[in-house]
Amino acid sequence: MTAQPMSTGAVGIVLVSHSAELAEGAAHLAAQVSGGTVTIIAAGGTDDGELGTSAAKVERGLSQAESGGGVVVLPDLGSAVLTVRAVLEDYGGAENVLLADAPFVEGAVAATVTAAAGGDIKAVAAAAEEARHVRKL
Amino acid sequence: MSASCEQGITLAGDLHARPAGALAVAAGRFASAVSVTAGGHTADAKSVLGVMGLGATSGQHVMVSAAGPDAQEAVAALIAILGEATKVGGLLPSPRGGVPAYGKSSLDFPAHSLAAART
Repeated sequence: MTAQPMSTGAVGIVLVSHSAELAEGAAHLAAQVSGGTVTIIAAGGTDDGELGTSAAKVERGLSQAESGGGVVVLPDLGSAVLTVRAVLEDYGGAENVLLADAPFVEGAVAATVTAAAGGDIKAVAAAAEEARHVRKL
Repeated sequence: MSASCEQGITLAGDLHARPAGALAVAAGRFASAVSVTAGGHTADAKSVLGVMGLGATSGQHVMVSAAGPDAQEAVAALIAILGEATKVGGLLPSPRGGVPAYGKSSLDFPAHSLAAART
């Protein structure tokens, strides 16, 4: 099972935000723009619904988003990265997960559109990271 | 075998997020390099943010160019999407949480591009 684990299946997306509403909203927007074919999991807020991040929600999100093509994770702010990294240290499928350094909303939309077009995990993460350089005006 | 191809269309509506997404998803399924030009600016058609950044509006003339093995098919598919998706009501917003209303017609995701998509 370790030879080519990411060669099949679509890439899934996990949105890790300090706010559950922000993660849900970004997931909804990305799904609409990309046509609704990509698995996008919102992992926002703490376990008791406060502002913050939850290792349990991130871990659940990773397994829900994985369908054979790997998972790209987008954190909203730097401290969400700490939670994701802590989860990945113990997570079984961490070699199929890429953490993207990208603006949250633009990155989520760009990553999801690339995943919907059949891009592999590297292309999806690259699309998210390129979002940093695309001007809106 | 490589080829290049180009075609223009006048938009029936603004190039908002959903049509830009449909365009970029379709463009991403072709091997050819595909670009969209409007108002003197050119964007990679596979970049949804780039396409949205063009700010193309109703009545504006948009040019689609492609270079590569499936350039002709790519241009035809994207022109069809631009024609449909920017019509008023062309891509209806879906109910919250539902599956977006586009993707049903063969125009949105042409059969040949679906066949070429990785499985």
